[in-house]
Amino acid sequence: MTATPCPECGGPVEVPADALPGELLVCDACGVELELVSTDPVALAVFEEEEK
Amino acid sequence: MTAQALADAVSAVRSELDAHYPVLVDTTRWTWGEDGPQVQGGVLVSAQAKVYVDGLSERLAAEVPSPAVLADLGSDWTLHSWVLPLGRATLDLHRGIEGDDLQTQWTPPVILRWFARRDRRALVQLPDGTLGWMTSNRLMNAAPISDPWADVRRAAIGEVSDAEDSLEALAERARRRTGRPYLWGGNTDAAADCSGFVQSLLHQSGLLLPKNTRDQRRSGVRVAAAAIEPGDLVFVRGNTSGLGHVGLALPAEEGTQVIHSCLTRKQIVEEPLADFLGRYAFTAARRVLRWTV
Ligand SMILES: [Zn+2]
Repeated sequence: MTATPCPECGGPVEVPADALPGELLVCDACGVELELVSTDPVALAVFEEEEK
Repeated sequence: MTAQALADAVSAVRSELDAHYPVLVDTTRWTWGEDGPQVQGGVLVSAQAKVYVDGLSERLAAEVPSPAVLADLGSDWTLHSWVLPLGRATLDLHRGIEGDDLQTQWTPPVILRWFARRDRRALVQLPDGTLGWMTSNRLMNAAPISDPWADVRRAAIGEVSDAEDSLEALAERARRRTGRPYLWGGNTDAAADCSGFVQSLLHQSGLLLPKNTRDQRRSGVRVAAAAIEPGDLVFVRGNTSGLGHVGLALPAEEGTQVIHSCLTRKQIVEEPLADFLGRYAFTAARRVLRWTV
């Protein structure tokens, strides 16, 4: 488990070791949904989508 | 700073909101107190509360408290009315007042929160928090003595609760619906979209999920893709469409399966978990209920 800064608020986001690229994580600090763009190195991007 | 300045600022913000929303639900009453602006009542959604806070603090150069958000499920239940739909027919809730885009459905009996009415349409809220418009001629005023939603068991982030039935019973109920049609916004036994399908299945197991996949993805606890077990929610997105999609993992002798209401195949289908994850891009798995076998 590593903590990476949230691109939205800068708060720490814990990235589990078994998380897969493309997996969505939620920032506990600001609640925004983040996409794990890559795992090595860990990179997070704010996720937005059209929903159903 | 005067009460008049506040009244002018409030009226300016209110016309901004009025211009933007076809029907504005606004019960706010603003007064000037010892510590600056004070507010009672609220607006329907948090975006509208933010317009008030931003608009007033800019115009008055003062700290402005947020109005209540009436659609928050925790908001004071005395701030709105309750209505009871007559009959047992499925309620269709639409996104817009015109009623062409199905938002969700609900099967009575249910008591709804009522917020507004225009022409023959009513803006109501379901126990899962979904807001929508429906025809108002089926609605009767209800005057409950206490909050009729107080006992609704809703999914919450970080929480896993006990299911009221077994995994076997869940699987049986889910599989009985295989082959039934996909319906955008649908949420009945006869037809459902992906999120409506899992919502209605787990509701019968005692837990009410939010209606849309985005909010469902924030329910319960995270499960790693390699650790998915029967009963878990599996979230994916279309590789080309990017559209969010959800299915429910089920037990089978040959390994874990996923059952889901599939937009492309236009019906409820079951397939091996590996095939499901192979065709779509995995985005999350969540566990919301603890099952007895
Ligand atoms: Zn954040």
